[in-house]
Amino acid sequence: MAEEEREPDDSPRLSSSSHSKNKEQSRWVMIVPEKIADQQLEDSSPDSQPSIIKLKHPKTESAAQFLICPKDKSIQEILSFQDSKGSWFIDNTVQEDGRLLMATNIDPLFLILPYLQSENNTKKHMFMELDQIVKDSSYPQCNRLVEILDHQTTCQICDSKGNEDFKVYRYSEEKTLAWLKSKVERTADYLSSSDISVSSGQCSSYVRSSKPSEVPREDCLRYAAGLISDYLHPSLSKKMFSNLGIKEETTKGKKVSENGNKTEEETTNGKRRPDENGHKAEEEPPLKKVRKSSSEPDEDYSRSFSMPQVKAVPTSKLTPGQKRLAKADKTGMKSLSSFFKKK
Amino acid sequence: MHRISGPARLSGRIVRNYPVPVSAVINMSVHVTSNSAFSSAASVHLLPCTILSNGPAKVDVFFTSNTQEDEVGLVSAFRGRELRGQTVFIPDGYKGIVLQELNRPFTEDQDRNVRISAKFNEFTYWNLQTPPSSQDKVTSALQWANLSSVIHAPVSDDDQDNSPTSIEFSR
Repeated sequence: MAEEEREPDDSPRLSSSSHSKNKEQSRWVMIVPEKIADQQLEDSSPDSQPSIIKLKHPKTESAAQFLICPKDKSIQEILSFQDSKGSWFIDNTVQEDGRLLMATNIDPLFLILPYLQSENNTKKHMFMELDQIVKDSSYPQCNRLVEILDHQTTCQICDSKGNEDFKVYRYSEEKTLAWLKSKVERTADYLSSSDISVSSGQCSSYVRSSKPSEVPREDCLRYAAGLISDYLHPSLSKKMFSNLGIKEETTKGKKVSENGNKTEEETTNGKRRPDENGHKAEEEPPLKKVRKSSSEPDEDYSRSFSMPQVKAVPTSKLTPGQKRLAKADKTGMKSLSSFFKKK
Repeated sequence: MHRISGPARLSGRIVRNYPVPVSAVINMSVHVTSNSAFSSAASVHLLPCTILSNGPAKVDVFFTSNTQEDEVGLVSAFRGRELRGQTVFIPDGYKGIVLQELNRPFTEDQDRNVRISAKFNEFTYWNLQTPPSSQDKVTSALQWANLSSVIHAPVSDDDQDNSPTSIEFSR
């Protein structure tokens, strides 16, 4: 225990020379699809090797990281799971960064949607070639998306013209909404057969095991649509919700309203489910409200959640821990002197 | 300490404990190459504390060898604190890897190379005094693996009966 007993403040003794700063991190723990982990990469050319690239996230429009595999025409988004504190032991080494990165598949259509939509708006419904549409000077690597898309898939969200050699595309909102609908329905089917609790996003950690056997279809649909809206620009996700005829995350909003958010209560009382009144035109304003009110409190959650992710100043974190240790019941703990008795 | 704008706005995931997008793992294009054969799977532990260190440590002598199993799960200790652990399996179809960058290029605009330096199919997840359970955050994070493949699998014609995917040649 000699080495590990050391206090964190003088731990550089454990570190291997230069890699102790987060900036210079040289190792990452990641979960990837099996076929990527087991690929034989030695004999492949650099262009066909998997690479991590930066692309515009379709919802936030800020940079996000993706793992692209030209060989099997797949793309994964790189996500990060992190508890408030954590570090890894990997064999006989310590890794300070306790994040668990996950590379999970992402449908490349989500990533080209923003480009299709904006081209369609600026170029007045012109048909264009895909590599002309998916072009972005801030994210030059977005052209690699074109390589992994095939014609048939692209046509699920586009109108297309042309022949074998020359194909042009134009965004189709109608097709996109139909495509999103099938995705939401398929995801809802999966959710209702899985043990994921969908009744309220927030309670998932309490009720997962005691999930009632019958979950309303609407809850599954709403949860599924909520997941999918994480990949859509807010304006499109609003259209998706109204196309599906469901309200966005009412259960979550209600919970959140306890934090002093009154807008949500107004919308729930003032407006019933869309299928009860059936007036599409009247749906718009309440939907807008729901969106607004549910996005505000969310910011609060994420603030408290994402702060620890960013910071790398564990010195301040450890001090309360040590205080707590001082107060804690030490019955289960060995005293330090017991260490010396044995050997 | 700035906020990462990406995760902050992807609020639904945070509420549900699913993993969130990463805006800066590595700042540029990285080629992933694989190391040759791996003799065995790495022994990987996720600890409930931050250890300000990167590099070698005698984990097997001082930590792994002290690990015992009781009726609740695994028990061990680190720096005098009792830890409660559970083996977590990587979901089917996925694998855990450790990416390692051996030589960092001197200039910012060079492509960086990382290689797979270890693989694992399970890791041990450690809590403080609470025994790990299926309700821990790490479990929802791993649930995401299967859920995401349902969300992101291409839509087939069967899924989309009402809207034909055939090519439109005329207007």
